[in-house]
Amino acid sequence: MNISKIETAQAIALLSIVMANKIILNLPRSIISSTGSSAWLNVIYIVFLSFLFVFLVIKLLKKFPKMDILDISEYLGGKYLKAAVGIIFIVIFALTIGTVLCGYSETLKSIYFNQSPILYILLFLIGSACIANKFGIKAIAKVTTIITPIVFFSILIVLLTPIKSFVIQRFFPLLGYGFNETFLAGISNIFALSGLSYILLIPSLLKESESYKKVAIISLCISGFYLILSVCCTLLVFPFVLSPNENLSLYLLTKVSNYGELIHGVNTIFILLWIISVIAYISIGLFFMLYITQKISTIKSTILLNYCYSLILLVLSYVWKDYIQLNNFSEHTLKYMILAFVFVFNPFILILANIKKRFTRSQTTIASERNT
Amino acid sequence: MKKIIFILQIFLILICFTGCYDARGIEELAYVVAIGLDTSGENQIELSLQFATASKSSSSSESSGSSSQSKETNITTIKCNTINSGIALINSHISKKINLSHCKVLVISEELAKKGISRYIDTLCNNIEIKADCSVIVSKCDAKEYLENVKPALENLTARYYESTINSAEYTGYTVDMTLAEFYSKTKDSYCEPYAILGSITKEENSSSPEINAKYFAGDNPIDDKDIIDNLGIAVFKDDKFIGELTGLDSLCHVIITNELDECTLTVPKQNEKEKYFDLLLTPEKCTKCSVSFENDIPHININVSLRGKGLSINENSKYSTECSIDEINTYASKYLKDAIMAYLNKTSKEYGSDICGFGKYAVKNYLTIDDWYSSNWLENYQNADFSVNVSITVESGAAFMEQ
Repeated sequence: MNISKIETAQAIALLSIVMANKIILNLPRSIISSTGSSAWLNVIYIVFLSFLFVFLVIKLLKKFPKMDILDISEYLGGKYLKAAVGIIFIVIFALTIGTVLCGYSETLKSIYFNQSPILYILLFLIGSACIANKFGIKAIAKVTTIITPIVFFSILIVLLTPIKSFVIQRFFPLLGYGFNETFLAGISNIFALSGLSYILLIPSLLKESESYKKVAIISLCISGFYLILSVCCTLLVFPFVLSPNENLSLYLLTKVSNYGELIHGVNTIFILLWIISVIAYISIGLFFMLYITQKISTIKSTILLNYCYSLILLVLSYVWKDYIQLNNFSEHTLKYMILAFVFVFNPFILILANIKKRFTRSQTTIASERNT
Repeated sequence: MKKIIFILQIFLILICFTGCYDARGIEELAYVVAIGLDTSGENQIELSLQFATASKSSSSSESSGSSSQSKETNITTIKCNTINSGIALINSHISKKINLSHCKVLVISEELAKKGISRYIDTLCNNIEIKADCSVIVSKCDAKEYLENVKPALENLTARYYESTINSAEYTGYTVDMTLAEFYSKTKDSYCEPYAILGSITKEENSSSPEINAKYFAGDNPIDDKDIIDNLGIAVFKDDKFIGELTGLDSLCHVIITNELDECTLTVPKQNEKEKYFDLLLTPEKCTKCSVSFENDIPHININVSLRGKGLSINENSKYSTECSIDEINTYASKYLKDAIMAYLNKTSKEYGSDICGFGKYAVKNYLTIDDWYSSNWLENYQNADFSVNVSITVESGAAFMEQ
C-alpha cells in the first residue's frame, strides 16, 4: 500500500470528516432522546471532556514523537500488545463502518431508492472506498481536503436555514431528564466524538510531527462546534419527545427549511454532498484498517487485503436483520466497546508507556552516572 | 490481472450507477395537490385525492411557455381503514403511480377532526414524499365537498391557488398558516396545543350581517361568490381533537400575539359615533413580549403588544395631523384591540382550555427538570390562567393624502 505522509491541513480534514459523519447521522437525535431539553448542556459538557481527553493524549504523546498508539503499545508490551491493540482497532473500525453504512444506506433507500436493493447502494459506497484505497492515503487526503469545507458549509446552511422555526424556550427545562442524565449518565454521549480514536493513529502519518497538537485541537474544535450547533438546532426545531425513526436528523431539518419561492428540492444537493462525505469516511476507515494490518503484520502489499476488508465491510453492513437490531447493537454494545477502548484503554496504555519511559530514563541516568 | 480487475471495477460502477433502471418519469406519476379525509363508518375513513391534470390544450401552453398543468382537477375518493391502504387501492385503480411530493393541503372534515387526527398526521409526517410545508385545513363541510368546490378564479394552477389563498394570511391575519410539520410538532409538544386553518364553503344564502374585522367563522363570510372555498379563522384543537372555532378577528389577535403578523387592516368603530369606522394599517413595531409567572400555581400571563398604525380612512372627520387627534386614535384603537385580544384569550383559556398561543414555552423556564414540568400539567392548568394585556398602537399618519 502506498503510505505517504500527509500535510497538516489534510490531517485536519481527515479527522473532521470522520467526526462530521456522526453529525450527519443520527447522533444529535440520540443525544436529545437520552437527555431531553438539556441536550445542549450535555453536548457542551462532552465537548469539554473531549478537549480534556485530547490535551491528555497530546501530553502523553509528547515523549513519543512520530509514534502512534501501535508503536507505543509495542514499546510497552512488545509485539503481542501491539497486535492486540491493532486487532481491537480493526474490529472497532469495521463494526463502526458496518453500522454507519447500514444505517446510511437504509436512509438513502427510504428517501430516494425505494425500488433498489440495498445491496446496490452498499456496493456503490464500499466499491468507491475500495477503489479510493488503491490510490493510497495521499489521494484520499487530497479529495477529503476539497470536500470537507463543502460538506461543512452545507451542514451550516442546513442547520441555520430553519432559524424561523427555532423556539428558544425548547432549551428549557434546563436540566432536562435530570442532573444524572445530563452530567453523569450523559458522559456516555462522548461516543459522539469517538472519531477521536483516529488521532491516536495519525502521528506517524504526519509530514510535520510537531503539528500534531495543532491537528488534534483544530479538528476537535471544528467537530465540537458542529456537534454543539447540530444538537442545538435539532433541539430548537423539534420537540425533544419526538424520536423519529429516520437516521438523518439533518435530513429532517432540510425538510422543514424554506429556501424561497424559486429554490425547491435543495435537500437533494445536501444528500449528494453527504454521500460523498460518507464515501470519504469509509475510505479513511478502510485505509486505517489496512494501515494497522500492515503495521502489526509482515504483509507488504495490501491490494488483496483491500478487497477482503471491503467484503467484510459489505457483510457487516448487510448482516443486520432490521434497523432495530442495528440500533440495539450500536447503542448497547458498540457504544460501550468504543468508549472503553478509546477513552479508557488507550489513555491507560499511554500512561503506562510514559511511566515506563520515565523509569527507563531514570535507570539509564543512574547507569550513566555509575559509569562516570 | 490488473486489467481484468480494472474492467471488473468499471462494470461494478456501471451496475451501481444505473439507478435509472427503476426511475419513473413525470408521465408515469399522478401528482396529488390535495388530500381530503372524511369519516366513513366505524374506524373507517374516506380518502379523497385531488390530482393535478394536464391541460387539454397542451400545444397552446407549449407555445406560451407556461405550465401544462391546468386548473382542472380530478378527485378520486375511496373508503379505507388507513391512508396508506387507501393510496394503495387508488394506485391499483388509476393508471399512474401516486406521488405526494406536490401536495399543498391536507383537508380534514370537522367530524373526523373531532374524533382525533394524530394517527393520520403521524402517518403523513412519516411519508418521505409529502413536504413539511403542506397546510392543514379543518373543513366545516366534508373534505371531499371542500375539494370539489376549489375554483381557482385568478390562478391557472390549482396548486398555486392553494398556495396563494393560504398566503393571504400574511397580509390579512384573518387566518393562519399551519403546516403539517408544525401541526405534528404541536401535537407532540407539551408547551402548546395544535390549531389549523378553518375552512368551509360559502353558503348560497348568507344572512350574516356585515361585521368589521372579519368577525365571522369560515363559510359565514357574506361574499357574493357562492360555493367557493373560504378559509377564515382558526380551528382549535385540544390534544389531537378539534374542539372549537375562532373568527377572523380572533385569528388577527392570534397572529399579533404569536408574532406572525406582517401587516393587517384593522377597522375601529369611531368613538361616540354609531356605525362609523376608521381603518388602520397595522404593522408590528416591536415583537410582542409575553411572560408567565405563577402565584399559588395560577399562571399570570403578561402580554405587551406594540404596533405601528397608518391611517387608511380619510375624510373630513379623520384627523391624523394634530397630536391631540392622534393620541385619541391611539388610545381608542389600543383599547379596541386590547378588548379583542382579551376576548380571544378568554375564549381559548376559559371556553376551550387550549393554549394555542404556546404560552407554555414562557412558563417552562420556571421549571428545572422535565418531570417537574410534566407534573405542573400546564396544558390543563392553562384554563386557570389570568391575563394582563397591554396594547400600544402608534398611529403615524395617513397614507397618501393628509386630511383637509
